[in-house]
Amino acid sequence: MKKYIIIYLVGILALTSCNSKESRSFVLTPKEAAKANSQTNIISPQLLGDIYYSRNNTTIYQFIDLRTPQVFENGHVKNAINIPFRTMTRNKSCRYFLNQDVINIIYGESTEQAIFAGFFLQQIGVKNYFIVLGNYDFIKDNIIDHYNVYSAHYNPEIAQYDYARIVAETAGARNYASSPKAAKPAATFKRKKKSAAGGGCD
Amino acid sequence: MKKFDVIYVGLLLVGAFWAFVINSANDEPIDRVQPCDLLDIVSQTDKYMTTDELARRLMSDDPTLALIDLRSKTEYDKYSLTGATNIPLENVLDDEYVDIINQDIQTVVFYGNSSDLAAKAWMLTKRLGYQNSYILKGGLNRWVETILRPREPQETASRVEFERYSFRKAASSYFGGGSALGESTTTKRLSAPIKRKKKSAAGGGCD
Repeated sequence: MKKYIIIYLVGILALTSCNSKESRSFVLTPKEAAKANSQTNIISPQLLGDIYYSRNNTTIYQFIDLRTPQVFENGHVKNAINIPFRTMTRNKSCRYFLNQDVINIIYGESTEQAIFAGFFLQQIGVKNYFIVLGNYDFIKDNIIDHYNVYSAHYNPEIAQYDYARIVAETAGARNYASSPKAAKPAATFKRKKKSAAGGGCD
Repeated sequence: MKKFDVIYVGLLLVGAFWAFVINSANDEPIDRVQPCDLLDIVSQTDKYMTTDELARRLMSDDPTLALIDLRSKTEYDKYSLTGATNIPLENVLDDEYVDIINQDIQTVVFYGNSSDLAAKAWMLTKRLGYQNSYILKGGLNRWVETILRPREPQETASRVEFERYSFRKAASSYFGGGSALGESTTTKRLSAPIKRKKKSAAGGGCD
């Protein structure tokens, strides 16, 4: 009897898994990932500076550099380990990301690369990480070489310009600002009546 | 075959059918790639569309372009690119937008203020195996810097850069971006105002 029950359960499980093409490694479904707030995993410049310059906290923070080994060799954050982006899921790399004893601070060759890495980790259920907005050069210029509390504010997703105003400045062939300024009617020129041409004899 | 065997095989089939129904009823989009494959796709796939390329296609009224503005509705209402559809990132996989996001006919271009939102949306589409999607490199901030307000290259710049600048200036006029930056740096001699002598009233006749 037990034998049949076990076979039955195994069969059900096997058929269920065969039918589902969903990867079991993703913890968040695509829709959940789309709705997830990933802002909480973006490190603030102040915390980044504090971690970099504090010797006490560095034991629980681990910098991870996603760039290629060649670029990494030319310069990196002190004590950072190099895990090229494409190798993040390899067994050797995985243990760094899955290590719950440290908080990983991830940076890459661009903000997008760090975003990709962070969003990927979020989808597979890793939580103990921060990503740095800005690439290594940004960290070097604003944290390592010339750090002050105002130097590293950077959030590329904030609108840097008033787009509508810029577009409204000059009417182009296509002005797509939703509330363009109404075009002023052309001023009418009033011409002074010319005085009668003098001439002739009075 | 024993009587119990028949019962258990029957139960097995019923269970399999039930599992199939449960999966079919699930409205979640199905992952098409494994996590490690997703990283390869992100690394290898051509994923960016430049602002120049986008401007070129918009100026030619390319009907195969589907622009998706991932910002909030408030931001979208203030300004958006030509013909863009507003789908905030959190709604990008909602059922009502699937036909826009997942299609073979048009080129889907995601954009936000920078590339960040677009990178996430693009990654999700690749996870689901959707084709034809791109990220607007640099987003609207770069759109302003390169298209609406192009910067004049230095005198020592290459011919390609000047040609690009020339195109951007034309695009700037087309999209209503106003003046190009850097034009004022070229010192243009102001022509001296011409003073015209006041014409004396036409004399005539006899004094």
